[in-house]
Amino acid sequence: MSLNINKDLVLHISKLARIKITDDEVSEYEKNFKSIVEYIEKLKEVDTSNVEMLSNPMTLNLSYYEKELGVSRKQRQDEIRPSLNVKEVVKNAPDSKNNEFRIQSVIENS
Amino acid sequence: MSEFKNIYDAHLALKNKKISAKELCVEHIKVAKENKNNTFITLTEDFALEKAKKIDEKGINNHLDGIPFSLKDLFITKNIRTTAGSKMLYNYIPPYEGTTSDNLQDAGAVLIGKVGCDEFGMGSSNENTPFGPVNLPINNDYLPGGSSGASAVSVLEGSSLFSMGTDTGGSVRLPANFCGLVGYKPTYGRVSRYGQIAYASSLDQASPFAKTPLDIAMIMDSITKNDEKDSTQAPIGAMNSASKILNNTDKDLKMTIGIDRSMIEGCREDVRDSLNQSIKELEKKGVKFKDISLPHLKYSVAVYYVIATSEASSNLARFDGVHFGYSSKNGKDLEDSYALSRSIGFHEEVKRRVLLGTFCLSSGYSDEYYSHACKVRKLIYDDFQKAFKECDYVYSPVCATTAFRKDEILTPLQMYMNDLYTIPVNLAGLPSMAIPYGKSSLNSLPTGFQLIGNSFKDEELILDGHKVFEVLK
Repeated sequence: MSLNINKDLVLHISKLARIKITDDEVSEYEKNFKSIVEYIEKLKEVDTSNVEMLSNPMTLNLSYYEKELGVSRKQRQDEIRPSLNVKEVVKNAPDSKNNEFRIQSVIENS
Repeated sequence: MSEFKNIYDAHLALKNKKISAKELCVEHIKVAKENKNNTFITLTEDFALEKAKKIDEKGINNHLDGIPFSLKDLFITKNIRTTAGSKMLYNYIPPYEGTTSDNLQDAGAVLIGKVGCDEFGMGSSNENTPFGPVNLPINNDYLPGGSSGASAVSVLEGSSLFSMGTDTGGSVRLPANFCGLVGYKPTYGRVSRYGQIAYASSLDQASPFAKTPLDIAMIMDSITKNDEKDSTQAPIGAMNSASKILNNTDKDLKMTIGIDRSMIEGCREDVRDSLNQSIKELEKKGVKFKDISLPHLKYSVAVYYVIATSEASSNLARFDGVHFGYSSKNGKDLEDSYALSRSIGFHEEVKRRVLLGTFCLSSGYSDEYYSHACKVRKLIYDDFQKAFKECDYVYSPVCATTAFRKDEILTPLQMYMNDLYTIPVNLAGLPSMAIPYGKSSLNSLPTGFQLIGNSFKDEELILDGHKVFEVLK
């Protein structure tokens, strides 16, 4: 059983990802996705009942250094520390005014 | 090209005043400026010369004092342009310093410049970038591999004595293998990721390139300090491996190395011959090989392309054309301008991966793809843990072939398959050293293998990797 990858699905995903694609690109991505997703589908043959998810090795690392090395991860004090200089940060903004990011208007004129 | 073959040689020369840090720096900048291989995106000449001058005044104490190096352009450097190899960040000047860059410069190393890479680290050939492909210096018909290809080239061409890359699915070990260098991917969480532009956060790890494992030790000792800015880093303190190598007199190779021979069978004939030869030689020197089985590794590429693209789609959401980076205001509204900025700012491969990741995480599919892949990831981790009950290290190919020809055209899926042997290490969060060995009988390009250790056995792996490297030299 293979998932039906079609133009509509590719366009739906591009909308979710906020990436504009041209008509030519839609067919190209459709072709790519078909072969990649078909390849990924082979994971379904693996029986994962009773297997936990491993989303980041850090969870397993923690138990290692806490148990074996006796090092625990300390949370730092909840104290105020200086953050980056706003003027410096805004320098990289494509458009800004008074140290604030400027965007297109989102409120429609009545 | 510099007369110094490696960091340690150069360190001794600096210490014995045979050369000054400034002279060493000038030598390397000269090679960088010749620009034979399209290695650098940004040269930091004035910055480097000033630093070298300071080192000369201060004197040589640390191993890295006065040592010229380059950074993959995925490492944030304060006030120095950082592009991630992307049009998206073409003019980005970071207002802060990343930890890896900070640590290396704190240890006395001299930053020569920022080198190219596949955009955001996504690729295996160093071609997916608007800055253009990088040449393999030993044969210009070939590519150095990726995504940290230019880092490897900077060491090989002699514009740096070492370079930092990032390894998410083999992006350091693959180019190291193609270029005949040592590449080291640390245990996940051994090095801080603060100030490393994220591709896939549960897989990314800063990883050095150098000529020898001893040089790798000197770099690792400098970048493993605790950093409270990255909560995924293990707070177990800096390594101290270089002095252990230098003071060690025991040259015995008392180690058991596990090997799943089906992995070698999957390689091209010239690579297979070279790998078998390395095993024979190591056996002669007393290394014990033990047959093991890693049955779930064949799913690694599929697992990787679900997990890495999912994480990428989330990490790259920050590029909206509003806060920094490429911006188009030609959209009919804000929403439309986001999409326009992203579709112009990102290159093809990045878009493909962001789209694929968005699909894998989208409503109705995330359990089927993302959650399931994370479970298979656990089975891959378990395969390794089972193996490490019987052996100290796992031997594996790095790639089934040698470097790719420039005129080879692969589909995305064919390109992804090149990472079959490197990806399992990232999925399981393990350390691994790519060690060069021999040359291909087909095209005379470098071949080699990797030694994979268990989590946090970084020091042991570097010490033993040094011994293995020395007996095979």
